[in-house]
Amino acid sequence: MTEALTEPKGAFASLERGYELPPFELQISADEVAAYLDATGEQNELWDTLVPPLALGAFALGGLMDRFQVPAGLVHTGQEYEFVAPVSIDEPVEVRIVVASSSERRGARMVVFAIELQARDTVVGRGRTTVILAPEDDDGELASL
Amino acid sequence: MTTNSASPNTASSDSAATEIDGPRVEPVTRRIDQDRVNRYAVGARDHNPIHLETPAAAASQFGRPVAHGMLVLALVSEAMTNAFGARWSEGGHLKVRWRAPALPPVTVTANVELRKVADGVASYDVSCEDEHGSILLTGTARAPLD
Repeated sequence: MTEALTEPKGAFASLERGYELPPFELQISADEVAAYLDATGEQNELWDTLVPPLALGAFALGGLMDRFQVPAGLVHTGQEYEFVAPVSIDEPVEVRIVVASSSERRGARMVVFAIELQARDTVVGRGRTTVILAPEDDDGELASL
Repeated sequence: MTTNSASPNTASSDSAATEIDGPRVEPVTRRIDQDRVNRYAVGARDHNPIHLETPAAAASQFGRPVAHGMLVLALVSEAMTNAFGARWSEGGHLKVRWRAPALPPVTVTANVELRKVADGVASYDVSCEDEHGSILLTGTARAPLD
């Protein structure tokens, strides 16, 4: 599904605004779509030929998380997606991710990743993923990554 | 197979919105148990130990595994697909914040309420709640009408 990971994993703490992760490619097979749908419980004949857009987002997120060391306590607090064009099963998609912002407030570090998905030399989707690493003494009411 | 369950609904009054009918999006309810979470970890390739029956999950503030937030969000995308079909993949927009963890086993319902219709786009408030009424996720969704 995802091309082999050859780059060393980056450290979450070192992520700075403007840092661009090395682009990577997704190519989601029918079996992978079936496994995703089996897990989510969704059934729709559209996904006989197309990749569910949120699956694409989930796989891109998985690729992102594969590329840096995920610290314990990191929570996925927000997500935005814009689905521009459908992606077919087995169609190569290039994932580009840049750190849109990185800030610290009251000991909590918040990072926003801007994600762009391209296929057929055109943008097929965009996303923004917000994660927060809370300080250890935070009582936390946030959901998980 | 589900393709399109949209039904007419009247947009709420809004001075900036055109008063026309917009598609109603039916809620989606699903049981999320640990088996489903385990399958999602494999299917979405997200093996973060906090979602699985691991020492890390037991040691977390919740003391047990937490369902993937993206698994909960998938119910919203499913509801929008049911209403808009392929248009959801061709112009849909989703923006959410997670408010509370989904702790399996839990029954989650995705609710999508029409807010307005303007410039050929239907806008909705979205939320996911558990069987006790606790809000797990809130946000907005938009989809093109044509």
